Parts: sequence; structure tokens; C-alpha cells
Amino acid sequence: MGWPVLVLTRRCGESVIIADDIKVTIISVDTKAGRAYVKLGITAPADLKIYREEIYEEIKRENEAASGATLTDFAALARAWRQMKAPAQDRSK
Amino acid sequence: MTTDRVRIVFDEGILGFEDIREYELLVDPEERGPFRWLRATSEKLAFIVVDPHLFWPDYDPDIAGACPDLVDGTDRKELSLYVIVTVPDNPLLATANLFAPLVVNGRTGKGRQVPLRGSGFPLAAHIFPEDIREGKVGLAGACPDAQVR
Repeated sequence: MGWPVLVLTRRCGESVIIADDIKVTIISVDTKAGRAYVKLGITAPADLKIYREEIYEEIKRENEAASGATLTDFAALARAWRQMKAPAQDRSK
Repeated sequence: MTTDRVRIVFDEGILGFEDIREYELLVDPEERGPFRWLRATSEKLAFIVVDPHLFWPDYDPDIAGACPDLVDGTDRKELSLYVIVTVPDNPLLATANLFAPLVVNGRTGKGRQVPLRGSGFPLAAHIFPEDIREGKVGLAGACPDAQVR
């Protein structure tokens, strides 16, 4: 996302419209333990992907970690699976 | 050994790899285990995936609600669910991403990674039960834990 940043000031209850069908409303601004919290209401088509940035980043990091799997990893998983499925008394084999 | 390949197009890619759309799921006909490779057809990129129901029989996310356009008009039998497996240095500590599973529509050949907002499913759930993870053997308890974060 290398675009310039548009900065707008809004009051509670006011909104911004993005494109034709997305509305972001400031619902409330609160302070808890010295930190400010802004509650946003987003009206958008149901299939639009909206994530908290940190969730998006976490999934991305998890996918990147998963992409490093090797054939050795694969074989080890299959082995552990067989061990898990074996009757308990056979697990020591 | 021959290997069956099922082609799956991820129109949105997979988060972190958005530019890579075409994958194939490699199915070992000898069924030597539940794990599969999901391999990009044109890049050197592959994920280990697994059917989550084999480890978490109760895992039943609301797929139709999470991606209605992907599953619309398709019989449930033609939909498959996979989770991506992350393997750390000790493979027994492997985890699966239950928060953002892969939904595959077998009828259309389309797939998507679908984050389940507000579901509470973990991003990294151990796939093997504790006795396997700790290398202990002969203990009962083959039920892997899936603690909610």
C-alpha cells in the first residue's frame, strides 16, 4: 500500500464515504487507562474483505512460516500421524 | 508411484503470496497419511495442508456465511476444507491454522483462504496430542487440543 495518506478530521457520528458503497462512521471515542479508543462502524458489501491490520499481518506471517515446509517435515508429520493412530500399546514401537 | 493432481485456482492468492494464483493439490493414491502438498504450479512454493476434521472432528466453521460467493450453488459434498500446517524445527510441535482455513469448491476449481472473523478459532493449534508432542509413548489421550486464543 504505497499510496499517499489522506488525513480527515471527523466528529463523532460523522462519516466518510469511500468509493460508492463503503461508509465509515465514527461511532465513539473513548479513553481507557490513558489510551484513546475509536469505535468505527463500517457499512460495506458483505464480501468486502475487512480486517484489523494486525490480524491480516498475523495470517500473512503464519502463511510465510508454513511455506518453508520440506519433504523431511512432510515425512515426519506422516510418521507422527501413524503413531497417533496406532493403538496406545503400540506407540512404543 | 503415481500422484493425482487436482488443480485449484486461488483468485486472491494466499495472504503473503497474493500474486500466485494457480496451485495443484497432490493426492497420494496410496493414502499413506492425511497430509497433502498444495503446490504452486509455476513457482517454487508449497504448503502442507490437511483435512481438519481428522484432527478436530467438531471443527465446523460457517463457510457458507464466510464466503457465500465462493460456495454459492454448490453442493456441500463438492466443498472441501483444508488447513495450512506450519512445521517448526520439531515437527511434533506442528500447528494448523484453524482461523483462516482454505475452502475449495470442487465444482468450480476455485479456492480461497477464508479468515473466520470473530470465530475465536486459533491461528496456530497443535495438531498432535500432548503425548506425541512430548515424545512420550504408550499414553492414552489421542485428542489434540485446540485452545482458543
